[in-house]
Amino acid sequence: MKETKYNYSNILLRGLIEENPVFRLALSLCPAVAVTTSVKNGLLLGVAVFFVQVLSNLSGSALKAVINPKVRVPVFVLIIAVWVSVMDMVLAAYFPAVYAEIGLYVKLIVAFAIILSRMELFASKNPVLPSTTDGIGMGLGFMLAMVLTGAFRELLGSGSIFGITIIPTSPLLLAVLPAGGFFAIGLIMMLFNYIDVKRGKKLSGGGSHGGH
Amino acid sequence: MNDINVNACQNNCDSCAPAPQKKMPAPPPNSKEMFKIALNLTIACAVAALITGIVFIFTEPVKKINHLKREQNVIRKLLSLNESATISEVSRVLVTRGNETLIAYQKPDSGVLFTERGEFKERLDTKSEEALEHKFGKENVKVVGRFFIGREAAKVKGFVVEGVQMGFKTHIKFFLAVDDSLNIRGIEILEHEEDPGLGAEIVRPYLKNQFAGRTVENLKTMEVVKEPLPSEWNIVLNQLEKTALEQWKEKNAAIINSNQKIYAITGATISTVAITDGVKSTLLNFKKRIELLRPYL
Repeated sequence: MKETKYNYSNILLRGLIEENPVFRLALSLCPAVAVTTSVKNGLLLGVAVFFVQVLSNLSGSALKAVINPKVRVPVFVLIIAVWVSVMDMVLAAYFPAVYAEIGLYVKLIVAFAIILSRMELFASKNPVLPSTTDGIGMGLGFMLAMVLTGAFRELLGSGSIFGITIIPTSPLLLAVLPAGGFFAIGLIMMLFNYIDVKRGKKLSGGGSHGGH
Repeated sequence: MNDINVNACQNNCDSCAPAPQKKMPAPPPNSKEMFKIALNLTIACAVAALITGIVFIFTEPVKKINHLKREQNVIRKLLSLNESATISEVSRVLVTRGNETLIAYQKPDSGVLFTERGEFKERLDTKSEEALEHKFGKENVKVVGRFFIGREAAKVKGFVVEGVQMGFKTHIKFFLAVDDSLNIRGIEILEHEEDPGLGAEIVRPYLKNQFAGRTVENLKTMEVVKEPLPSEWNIVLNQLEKTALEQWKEKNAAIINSNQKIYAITGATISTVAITDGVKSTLLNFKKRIELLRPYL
């Protein structure tokens, strides 16, 4: 990425579909499966990850000049950890209702592969503005994935969306159990690939920019 | 134990043999470079610590207040206390004095000390758990449980006891509310990690309200049955969320009396049994304790 002109809308949209963190890059699947038992939980974690991703990309890119390349990864992990701790404390203090739902998973964001991966692959090589845009794109992409998976599982497993009953019984309880999470993500991944094939693209098998 | 005689060791292993000269590791970065890396990391850590520290200072008090507020709200709701009601917390503390183990109940204004067998020992002038620690030594004091007394116009309206029971995965923490004569008013699950869609259903009205309105004697004989929850009973259980307990009991006396058992959640019998056992043991233990403690409240 040597070009100096950045196509911001491209960077932004890439994270949503083309390089969707969950469905395309298959990163951070563990927490994705653990949390997406309902749309609400998925959305809440998505929002938390969004903020951490954007702030980490921003600060990682801004500080790249003063970070010694030999300790870049540890410092990046530290940056993520700081933002996650800040998020955790702020949520616990000012949004206790939200924290009660996702508090357990917020701390896990430190180990989310997607965040470190974007910092290392993009933010460490690009200026602040494109890096932030990349963070927003990837964050939104993760959020979209969480909401889609959450909706799929909640509808099948509990017969509701956002806690509002749509089907009076639970049609397929398995969907809401951990194993069902993998099925859900696999099926949605399949859908993504199907759309790609229909659009005449070749299956790339991973991120089209490689390196993941 | 560590001073192994290297020369006496006959095993030609890598651990004690002197490092062979030919296998030199890559040259380490020179000391200036190393210093730079260390400094870089140190500064990064210091800045990180500073940021998290500052945020902690601002958020921690708010966090504590939130936690207390939540507990107080749950207690108020469970005991249906009015605006002017007061809630006081009593902690049960294991105290070691010399070679005897004693049980202290610490109230906001004073404490009471009992022997392990429940004989009254003495009143304490301590005003907090910290004061107890100060009196008996920090290592001799261990808080093992707590309950709350809800009073309306200086009259005891009921108690809320904190209970903990092993669930399917980890501990289930709950509040058990009883009125002054120890009839159950309701339960509220505070923390649990049961499976969503299965054990996690313990928080739903249709399970937790099955305990509401039961007496100690009722509860002793209540068994968990693997039968489907009758649909009319389900409707009545959900109604309690919007009705006062007394009215609910009066209106539905027949159906409440005809369902003297706990219907297990489909696919989560273990969680159902766990919460039932937890409520039973918490109430029976509390009954013993409150009988001892009542004259001193």
